[in-house]
Amino acid sequence: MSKQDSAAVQTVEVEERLSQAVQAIYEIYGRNLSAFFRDAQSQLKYDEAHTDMKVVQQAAMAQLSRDST
Amino acid sequence: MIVPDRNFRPNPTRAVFVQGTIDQQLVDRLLPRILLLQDQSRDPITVYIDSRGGHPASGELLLNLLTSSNQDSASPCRTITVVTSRAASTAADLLSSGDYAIAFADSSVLYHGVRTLFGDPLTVEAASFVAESLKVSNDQFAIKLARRSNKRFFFRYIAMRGDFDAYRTKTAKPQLSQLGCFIGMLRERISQAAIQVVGQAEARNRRYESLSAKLWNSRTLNKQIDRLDQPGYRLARVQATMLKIMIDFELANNTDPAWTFVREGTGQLRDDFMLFHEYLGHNQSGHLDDLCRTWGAFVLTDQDNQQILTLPEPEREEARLAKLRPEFLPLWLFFVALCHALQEGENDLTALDAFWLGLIDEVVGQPDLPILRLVSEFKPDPAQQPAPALPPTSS
Repeated sequence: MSKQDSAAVQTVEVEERLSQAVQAIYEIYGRNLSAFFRDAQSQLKYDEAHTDMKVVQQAAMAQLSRDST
Repeated sequence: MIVPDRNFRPNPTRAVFVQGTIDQQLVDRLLPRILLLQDQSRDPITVYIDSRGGHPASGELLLNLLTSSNQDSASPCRTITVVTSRAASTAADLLSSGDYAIAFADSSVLYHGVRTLFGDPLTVEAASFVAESLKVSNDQFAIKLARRSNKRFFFRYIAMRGDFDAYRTKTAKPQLSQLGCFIGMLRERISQAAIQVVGQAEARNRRYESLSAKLWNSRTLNKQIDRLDQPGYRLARVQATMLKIMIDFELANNTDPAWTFVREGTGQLRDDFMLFHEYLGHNQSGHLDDLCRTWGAFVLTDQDNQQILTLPEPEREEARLAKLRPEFLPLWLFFVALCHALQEGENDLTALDAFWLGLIDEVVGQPDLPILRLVSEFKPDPAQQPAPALPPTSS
């Protein structure tokens, strides 16, 4: 694929991905975008909390390995 | 499930930093970096902004460089603009021009009209010329801002549209229009300074709405617009009809016997003509139809869909668009009015104001906002996906 083709594909990709995502959201939530945002935002908060837990666990493991040496 | 998408995420390793005054010196300093990033790949370029503005021509030049193609006519790199602290004037225009615009939570964005320094002693004629040219520049900037940001404003509308009925109930205004609900809900979310801008926009928009009704009720104009697709049909004929309707509109609205077309009249005519010329171009270019296609499903009712399904397949798309355009036209007019209002006086907005007014896409650290990135990064969990249709059972 040429550089030009690759770039064109990339631009179309952004719009297409957005359209596909919109379609998927519509199929699950119907016209209620507010419900989608509520779910997506709580998912973000869950991920955040989950990540924090991982950090805590990693820090604890690092401390354990330091203590054991 | 939210899966990060680099097209919506700033990347400091593929970035340029717009700091200080936006002038030719800054453009010269950033040019090698921009060229290098564009040569490396066509991935998005992040533009971090902390600037009180500068020369509009330099800002435009910078934007043109950032969005330039290459010898292979490749698509421009996507630009992700991020205001870290302050984006004023030309810097604010640059921020809103990004394909995806982000603001740090405590940053501020200032919009105002074009300014000029006039060295020579002023005469009445020169003052009048300067005032006129500044007005023309402001009108052009307003239209440009509207063109670059209207997708954001549309998205804000679509994201809040599901709550309009609840707003009508809450305010005990069952007859409130869709646009009225949207503006009312915006007012609840923005600062006093932004409320003032919205108020100015509403005043301007009332005039747009009356003129718009006059224009679109004209059968001659509608027929001529339909004929624009025919080869050789002149756009100037449509424009001539628009101007005639506008002249009649001005005459009917200005009943003071001393009023003439010499000063205010022609200025107003030009302003209105440019607005509807832009709308026509916007409509013809397919931008509005693209928005209708992307978000139309959230607007059409079940009844609309059933009606459309009764039509032959080739007519359905046009019928769908015909149902959607009347909902989006008032929104587009209001947004242009808003962009005009931003060019009047000093409009110092918070990051949240800029978000709700459709001038940026996201405020960092504010995940509770309806942001486009969440839509693009959304991947349905297998459990969330609609159940596939059962295969026919064999007897």
